[in-house]
Amino acid sequence: MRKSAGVAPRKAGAELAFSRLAYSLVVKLVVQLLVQLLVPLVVPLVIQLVVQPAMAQSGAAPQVAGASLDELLDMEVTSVSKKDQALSETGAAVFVITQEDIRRSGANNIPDLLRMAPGVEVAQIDASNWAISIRGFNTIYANKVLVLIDGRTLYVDTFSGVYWDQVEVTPENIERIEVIRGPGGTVWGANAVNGVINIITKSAADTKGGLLTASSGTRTSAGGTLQYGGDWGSTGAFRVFGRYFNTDSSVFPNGQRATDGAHGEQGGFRGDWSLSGSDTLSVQAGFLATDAGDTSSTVLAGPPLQEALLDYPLTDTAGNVLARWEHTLAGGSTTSLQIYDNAMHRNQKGLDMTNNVVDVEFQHHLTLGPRHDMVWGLDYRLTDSLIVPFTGSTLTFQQPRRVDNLFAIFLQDEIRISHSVFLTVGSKFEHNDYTGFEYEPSIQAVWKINGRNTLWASASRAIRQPDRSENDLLFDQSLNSIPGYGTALVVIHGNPAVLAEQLLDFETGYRARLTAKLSLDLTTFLSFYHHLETVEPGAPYEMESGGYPLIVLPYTLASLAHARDFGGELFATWKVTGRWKLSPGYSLLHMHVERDPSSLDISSAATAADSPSHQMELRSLLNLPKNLEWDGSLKYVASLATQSIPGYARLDTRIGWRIGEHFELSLTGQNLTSPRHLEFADVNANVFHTEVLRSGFAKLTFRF
Amino acid sequence: MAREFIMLLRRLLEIVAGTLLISQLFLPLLCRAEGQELDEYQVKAGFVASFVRFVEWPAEAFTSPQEPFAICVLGRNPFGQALAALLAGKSVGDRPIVLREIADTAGAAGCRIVFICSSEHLRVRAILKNIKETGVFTIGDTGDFTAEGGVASLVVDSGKVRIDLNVTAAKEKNLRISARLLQVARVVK
Repeated sequence: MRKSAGVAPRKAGAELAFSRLAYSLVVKLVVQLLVQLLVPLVVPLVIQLVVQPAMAQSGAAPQVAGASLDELLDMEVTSVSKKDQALSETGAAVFVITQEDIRRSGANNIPDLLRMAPGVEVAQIDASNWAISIRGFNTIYANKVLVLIDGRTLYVDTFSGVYWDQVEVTPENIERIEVIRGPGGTVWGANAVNGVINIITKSAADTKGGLLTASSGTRTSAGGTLQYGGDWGSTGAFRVFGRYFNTDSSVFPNGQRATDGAHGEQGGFRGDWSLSGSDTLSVQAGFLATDAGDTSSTVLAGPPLQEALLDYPLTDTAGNVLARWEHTLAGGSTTSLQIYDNAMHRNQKGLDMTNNVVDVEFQHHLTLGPRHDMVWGLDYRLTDSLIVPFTGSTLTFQQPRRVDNLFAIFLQDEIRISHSVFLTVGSKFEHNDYTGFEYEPSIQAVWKINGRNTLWASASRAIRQPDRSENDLLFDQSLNSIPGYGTALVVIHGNPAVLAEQLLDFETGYRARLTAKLSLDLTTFLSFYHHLETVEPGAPYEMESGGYPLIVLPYTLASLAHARDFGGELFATWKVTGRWKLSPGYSLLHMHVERDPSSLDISSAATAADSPSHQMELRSLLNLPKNLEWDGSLKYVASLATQSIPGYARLDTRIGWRIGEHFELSLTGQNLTSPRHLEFADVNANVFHTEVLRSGFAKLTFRF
Repeated sequence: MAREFIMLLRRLLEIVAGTLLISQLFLPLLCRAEGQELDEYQVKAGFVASFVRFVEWPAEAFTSPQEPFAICVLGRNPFGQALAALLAGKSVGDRPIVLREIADTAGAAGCRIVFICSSEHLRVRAILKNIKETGVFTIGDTGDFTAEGGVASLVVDSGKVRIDLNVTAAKEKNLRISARLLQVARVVK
């Protein structure tokens, strides 16, 4: 299941020729576009910086005082929520994807939405499988990012990651997505190592009425949502929804049709009530069923052992229930109690996985005196996981069932040193059943230089707790013929002695509102990782399978690598005119992974080249007259050396038309720069990659 | 032949993609340059402060000729200092305007304008039902504020603030809305 030493990456000849052609085309296009983009971009920027004087912030805007009714009605306004404001003042690297960004991106799944966030690596492997990470270490089993929907973690203990095809949320119901780059262990605990992706859905009070969407396009034959929301008593609201989506099968790099087509159904409920002036209750429930397929290389139990490229069905059923009660105490401090159950059943690559997570969390937010703003919390989580291989599979877990407990407590204090300097210190203390006691402290300093400029710095420690694969795996990974010796079988053994991966991270950031129209956000980081996973070769031995001799090359998982990474992200928002907004972004990543002297793993160092060292993006949102919108995004992702994936540029564009108060029609084109391209190739063919195709679709939205 | 056709198609697509982007970049520059944007609540504060000039309150709403004109913000105040700054030293007729922040309808006695903040979005209907007094101009900005019985709603629509008026509710509260305000507002009920 893991990358192993001594196994050569598979390559298709046709893929190479095609990728060269695509590469030269893309490079030509990028250069052409960059030149054409930079001139109109830089010139007005310079003019604006020079000409526009900085405006001071006061109680009331001078234009508003004394304005007539007509003048007020004609003023252009921006809506910045309190939450956004608070985020822009934290000592962490945060990027917020708003509902407006979501609607105008045209994207209809969460991974495609995340492409707009700087520092996030999003690569599609096939219709249902993705490699998504933040600040490096990207693989199909990326394990250093924590993903939450309304406070419910989507972490799966099979491989410490997320099944992205299960992260389905109706785009219209998302209020915002907070993407936090860098460690979040102090608040969110283990596995929030390189970042946190926090998906927050709208309160039921904000989705009253009916919603019907229907879409169809070149990659999806039909998709749609039906939702209805309304009042529940005089102090509450609810919504119920159902959704259907599908994707057609793509093609393999050699042009052959794949079997990765997917379709799924989803349904859910959310209710929000104000129980009294100081109590609110939120309850939600949802289910998801998807049916897809993927292709992977598998060693089938013999005798004799055989390796084959097989098309597997990939099915998911998942359900969840969550309740959160928030209470405001007399002194103004607030408490919240949240409980959820997250259950899923997944069948992939012949493994039948059942997973149930129950989590109870309590938090108390209070102010002590004029200087301390404190949050503390308690968390208990029970994970019950059962993994059963199908008969004949050589991918097994030594312990089919495992029940784990996690206890955690955290405390964080924001201390006001002066009116402009804030210091936040805190730590999480956890006990997990894999490695026992763990701690994740952090310290952040924020200096609000003035109303327009903020400087911050942070230091933190985060851990990733080991998972079931690392502990329990027993896996015949591949059969390789070695000339002169015969056939070699690569076997991977889990190791219960694997340690928690550790990160020591240092960051600095600067945020500025340079003018009323131009804001800038820069972050740099330096990260030191220890106890990273390695695969250690053992002594080869001989065995026989169905009369054929075999050399067995055993590998055991260990924690014998370390890394030193640095990089940064820069993004800006520029309101060129009242109708037009441009958002450019750039991320740099330099990874240096090394094995410890005692390690014999020769593959770990290469993982650095599975993440692009540069990414660039430019988004444009334009309001045209007659209720028309024209939006576009251009993204460049640098090459992935170990996978022979050349750098590529993606161009997506959307035209939206609001027809009256009830209808909206949009046309979206994705991946317009090339007919098809590769984004990620899993070298061990755990999942055999397919191409990302150029596509277009139309969507009609009806609100009633 | 087929290859030439594909090359031609590719070339065409390149050109189309390029033109799309470039025209998107230049088009807005040709559009009329527009004024600078303001925070939503700066402008909404402007509306709240100016409503006193376009609404007539019934005389019986006030207990004495000296009673000040109270504008109340119910819930988590989103205006910062903006509303206070606009109202400082202002009066309605002979009555000086006072600004009060209140937590619930119990504190709303004597308020002539009540702005119900979005922090109260779940209990807007309950709040409106509890304001039984006449001569109270209720303003809000939650989803269906006017449909739920509020008098005026300040809605952000295409980057500008729009006024929705529930004239039935205004009548029930014995408020007289000027023709000028009715002209620019969207009458929803």
